[in-house]
Amino acid sequence: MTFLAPLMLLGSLAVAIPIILHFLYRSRFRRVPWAAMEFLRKSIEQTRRRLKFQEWLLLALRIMLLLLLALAFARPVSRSTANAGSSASDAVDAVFVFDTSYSMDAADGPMTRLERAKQAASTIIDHLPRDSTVQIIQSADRATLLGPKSPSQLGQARQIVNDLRATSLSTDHLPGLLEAEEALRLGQAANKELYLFSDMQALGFERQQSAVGEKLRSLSRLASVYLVRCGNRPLRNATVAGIQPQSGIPHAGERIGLAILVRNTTREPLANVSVTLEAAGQSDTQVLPVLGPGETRAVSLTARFDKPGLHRIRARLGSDDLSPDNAFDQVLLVRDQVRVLVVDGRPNERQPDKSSSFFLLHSLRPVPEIAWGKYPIQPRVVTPRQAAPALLADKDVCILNNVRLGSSTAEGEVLGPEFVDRLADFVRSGKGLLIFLGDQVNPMIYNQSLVQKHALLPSRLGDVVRLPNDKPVRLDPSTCDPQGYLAGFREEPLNRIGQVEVDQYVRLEQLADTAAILLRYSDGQPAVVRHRFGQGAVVLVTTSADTSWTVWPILPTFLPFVHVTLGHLLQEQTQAHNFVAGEIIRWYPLARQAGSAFTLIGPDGNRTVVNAEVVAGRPVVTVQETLYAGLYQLLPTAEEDVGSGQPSAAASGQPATPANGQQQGPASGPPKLSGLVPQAVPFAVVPDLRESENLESLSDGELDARLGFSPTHLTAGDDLSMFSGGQRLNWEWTRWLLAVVLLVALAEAVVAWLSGRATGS
Amino acid sequence: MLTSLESDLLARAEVLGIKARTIVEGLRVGEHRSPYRGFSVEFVQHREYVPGDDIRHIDWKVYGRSERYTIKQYEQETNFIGHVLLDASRSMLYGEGDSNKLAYAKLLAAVLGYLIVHQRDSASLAIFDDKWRTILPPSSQPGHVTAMLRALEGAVPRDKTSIGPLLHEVADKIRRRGLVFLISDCFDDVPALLHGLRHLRFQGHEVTVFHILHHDELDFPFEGMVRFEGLEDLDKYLTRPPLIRPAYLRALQAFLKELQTGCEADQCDYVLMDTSRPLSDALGEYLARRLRVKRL
Repeated sequence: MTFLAPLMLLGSLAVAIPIILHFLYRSRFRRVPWAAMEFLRKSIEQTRRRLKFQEWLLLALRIMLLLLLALAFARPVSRSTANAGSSASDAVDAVFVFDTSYSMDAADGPMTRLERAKQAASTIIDHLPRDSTVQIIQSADRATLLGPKSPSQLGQARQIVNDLRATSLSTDHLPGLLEAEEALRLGQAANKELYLFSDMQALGFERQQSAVGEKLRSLSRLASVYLVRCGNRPLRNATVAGIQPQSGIPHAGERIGLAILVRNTTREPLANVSVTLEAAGQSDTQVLPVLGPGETRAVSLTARFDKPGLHRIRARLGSDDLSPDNAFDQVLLVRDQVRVLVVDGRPNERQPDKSSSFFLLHSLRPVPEIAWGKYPIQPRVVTPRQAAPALLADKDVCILNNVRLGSSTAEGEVLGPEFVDRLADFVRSGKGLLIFLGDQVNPMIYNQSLVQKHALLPSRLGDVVRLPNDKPVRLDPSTCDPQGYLAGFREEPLNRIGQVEVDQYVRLEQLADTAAILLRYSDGQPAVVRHRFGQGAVVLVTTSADTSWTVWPILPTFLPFVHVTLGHLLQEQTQAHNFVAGEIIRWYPLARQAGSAFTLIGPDGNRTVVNAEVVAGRPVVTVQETLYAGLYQLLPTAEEDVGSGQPSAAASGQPATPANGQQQGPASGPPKLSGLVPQAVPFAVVPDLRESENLESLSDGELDARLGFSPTHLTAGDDLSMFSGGQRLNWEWTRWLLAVVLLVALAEAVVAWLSGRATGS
Repeated sequence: MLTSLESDLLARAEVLGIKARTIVEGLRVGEHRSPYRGFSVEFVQHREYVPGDDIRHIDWKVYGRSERYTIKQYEQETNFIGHVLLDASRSMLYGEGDSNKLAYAKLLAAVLGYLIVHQRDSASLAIFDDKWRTILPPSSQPGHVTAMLRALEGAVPRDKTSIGPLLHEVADKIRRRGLVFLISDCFDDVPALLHGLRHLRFQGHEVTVFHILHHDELDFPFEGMVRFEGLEDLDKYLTRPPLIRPAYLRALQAFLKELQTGCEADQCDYVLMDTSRPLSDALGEYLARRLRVKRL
């Protein structure tokens, strides 16, 4: 506790007054010669103790009265609940934390919630006492101290507030509060105030509920905490939850079906929700008559891409109260051909149908031989000995089929370590790897090479499980991961995969954290496991792709499995171009571009320069700030310098040899784009849709209950000047002390009256 | 001071005394027995009748001789002795002017002496504190009143009160029964006082206690901080009277009740007299009451 007017504490010396008066009063008396002394003596003896008690009680009350008055005039303030040294007129170190999650962009009457916040902040700044300081923090699920550089420059603070924009991030108040705590601790004024401008969306307090509550409680001991509610009108909102290609592999020249997932995130039904797909300069629109509360609907729209390459597609909804989640961008890779390298561990040229890849190849090219040349999937089969690392350069997917690994190709038909090393880089750069096991596979060597050395496999391989011929296991379609790409196998007709009998398979041990079991056998053991590796993906099938361990390759469900898996592995390659707001974009350019400068073109057209730095021997361009949804494009600065003139070799997709020895083919460099800046690498960033899942705001009472204390609740739009000044006064103990003074005075009057009153006869 | 006795008071006292005497006489010939049987009545002289005289006292023999209405006057000879005992202790000094307890008591004693002597009875006066200070033997001579007044004038308080033993002395000394008037504030040991009164009653005396108290002593109306200094001892009490007033009044009431109850038990008349009240009123009330129920 400190005092705003400590000199007034000298007033406590006035306690001497009643003491002096007490004794002075006793010394100033009237002498009366008295005859009836006996009665006097009796009455005094009877009342002496009571009178003395009353006398000292009165004296104590009067001393307390004066002490409390002196204390009240000294204007004490307590650090436990308020700012030390605060008053309505003393300087304030104010920290404004603005919730800039995209729900703040929701319409609230004629303006958005963020605009209300700005208006309220401006009003508060206007009414701050002289010499006050303000620091502005932008906070969503991460926080940034925006300034001003000199906190006392309130004009700069106003400008920063005016320039604030809602991000595409979701709400989490903890980072902002942590930043605010640091800013408050740096403040010099005794009077500190923290303003949190937010729509008080439940998500912001629930994601790290205990930590947020604890932090706000600790901040309330450091500063006065204001929660400024910026709009709380219920919202009507639909959001695009995602875009899923309905065909396995998008090919150029084909019309592609795309499922637009539309979700009503509010409690009210929405009518006439228009859904538009914009792609390749065309648009396709469909209107949903009704979208029930919480309902998610897939709207099928189509697009046609004439040229292969990376394409930007955008799903857009009609207007509602919250526009930031109405647009959903995605980068789609459209191909003319898919090049697949199949390494067959048991080739048989004389009797191709005896080779391990026989059924696999027919599944990859399910057309007559005469049409193989024009078929979009172009597999190339090699033996392990023939498998050179360079073969991977122009491939999109590699399939290891019953391949034996070895330390040297001199051992026979074994896959050499050089190829394995290159294979790891191949996957890491975003390509796909599909592995079928079989009798050529030695689990121990696989573990050494693919698990211990490269961590390519999702799990260590255990023993081979050999089942009696009359007691095979079956694939269990009910175990298909509903969120995985095999989810379709849970339904007719693909659920006939349950008829697949398996005699032998490899038991998996110690699944990696990033592994996901997509399908199991009827005995519960994993059959298909997926694993992300770098920017690519690995799918492991624990049985064989020939008929030595299972009859699956000759059953109808094998072909869709291969195609769906291939599509998934190809789709994974575009994940390197699709992000959620807040995620870090990492792009691996050609090796010779290490140290080169790139221009990042943001969704708003702003350009910034980023350099390709070498990390772990590879050049990587890192974009940390993806706060806003939309299309980001990365362009080699040299390209930008020449504009749309001659493309450089680096950006033109010509083969290049990276410094680490890896080769990158045309697909590794920036692919050709449609509707984008030429030669630019596109990245689609979508809003963090966790924000839209629950748009409910917490009431003041709910906030108090969750936080465990009662901060000051303000509402943007109210007269905040009244609050900001008046509340500071409230935090002084003066008012309460004066109330106590009144009570003590009342008590003194009562005691004095009772003391002076003739005690009942 | 006593030489300036209010004529009004004396006149009224005389009227009352005359009435009392008339009543006593009336009682002697009436239904009620006079307590003063055996008193002789001797002829003194004649005087001319004036309107208002009782025609029963007209001497018709003289009228027969001289045809003039003549009233026969008698001189009564009585054994009525009124003993006035006046407390002149220091406690009687409380009060200012006419409300001073001692002055009030002296006036009362003088009035009583005048009344007794004026009725041709004998009056004695004894002034005391803790011992006898002045004693005037009984006499019915008119000049005795003057002697009483002088004795009263000369009474100066010296010491504290001790009534009980003195009453025993009086009871032992006075063989002939009479009336005993004790004038005091009775700030003494009440049981001892009552014991002395009982002794007097045992000797056949009729006892009247005139309890003289100042209004302050009855009401305790003091304000502020007061140091009470004892008139009869060295005790001093510094206090705020309003705070102890209830307790004081309780103690006083207990004292008065004990005293009054004790007097009634011994068939003594108890008359509480507030010095703020004119003596004529207070004494008039007493005499009227006494005339109604007894006699003087």
